[in-house]
Amino acid sequence: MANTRTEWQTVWQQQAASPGAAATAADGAGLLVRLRAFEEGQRRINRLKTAALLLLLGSILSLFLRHATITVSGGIGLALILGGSLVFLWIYWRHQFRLADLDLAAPPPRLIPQAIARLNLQRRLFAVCFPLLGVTLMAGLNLLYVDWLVEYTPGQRWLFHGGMTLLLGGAFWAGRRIRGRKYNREYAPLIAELETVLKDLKNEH
Amino acid sequence: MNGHEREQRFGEIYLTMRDRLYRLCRGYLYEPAEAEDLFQEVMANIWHSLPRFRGEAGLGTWAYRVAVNTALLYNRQLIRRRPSWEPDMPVPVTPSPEDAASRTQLLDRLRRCISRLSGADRLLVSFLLEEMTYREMADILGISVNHVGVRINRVKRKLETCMRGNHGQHTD
Repeated sequence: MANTRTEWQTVWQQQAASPGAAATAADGAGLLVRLRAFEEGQRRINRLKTAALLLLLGSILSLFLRHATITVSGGIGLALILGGSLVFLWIYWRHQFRLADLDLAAPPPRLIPQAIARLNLQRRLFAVCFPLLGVTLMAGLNLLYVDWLVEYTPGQRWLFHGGMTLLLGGAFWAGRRIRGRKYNREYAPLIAELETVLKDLKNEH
Repeated sequence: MNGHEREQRFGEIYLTMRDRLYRLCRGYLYEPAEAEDLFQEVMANIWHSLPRFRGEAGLGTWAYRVAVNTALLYNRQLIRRRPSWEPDMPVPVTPSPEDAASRTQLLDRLRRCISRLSGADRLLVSFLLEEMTYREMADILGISVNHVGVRINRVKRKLETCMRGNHGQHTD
């Protein structure tokens, strides 16, 4: 069988790359391309989201500075809204899945868990950071409105604060659900595929 | 690494390793068109990763690792496609590997038998056919030499069984 194997090796090593095969770096199908498309799509959406959030924060800030006297509670509220949003944006950008962040020259048993961990971060982002942002924004807005609603009756004020909290809470709950579905649809299958690759590599069948 | 160095290293890899990396892709994917796409993806990733090359491993091992990682990340979606040859189909027996035609047949048979193996085993067989040492294989795959040895022995048996034409019988 050794001679046969030598013959296989000879035949195998006689294969040369087809002419021009490496001349271009055209995209093929597969997980890698999906990851790339994923990354590009995410980047586009993130730019839009960031622009929208910054616009909203800018509007709140300018509205506040033009029409309200800065009090302690208003200042704390504004700081919570701006600070919370900026911290969230920073974490959000930092945890994005970027293929370029992976070290493709690392040994596969190190690279694949790295890719899985990066994909898993997406879940933590909307499961932990997103609700925290919601609570911060709710607290900040309620504090901001304490002074603005001073002329209203206590009942009206409670109604306004309650309504706004419910509305914001609902929006964040819906956002979290949408992100959860997106994770299950897009990220979870990728993670499962990567885990299969890792098991195969470690021979854990 | 500046642009000139990057181009120089890429040229070096292309000149010295192009055929070996191409064969790795052909071993990993049976369909020639798919293997060619993978090869282009490998070369693209080598180019994009070159600025990170620090020389801890040799350029060859480094390029192989990029190729292996690309292959491992690449293939999942292709399972859903229908190949022109299904892994369950019987592998035709080569009458005699005397002339060029039978060599082509032998190569095709070899590729078909390789395509029956799992992703990591296909990579190992490619290394085996390139006459790499167990140490080299272990360095590229990031697993122990002993693990490589155990897997290679098992893969050899599977390959030999398939090449003999005993498709239904598994040796392990």
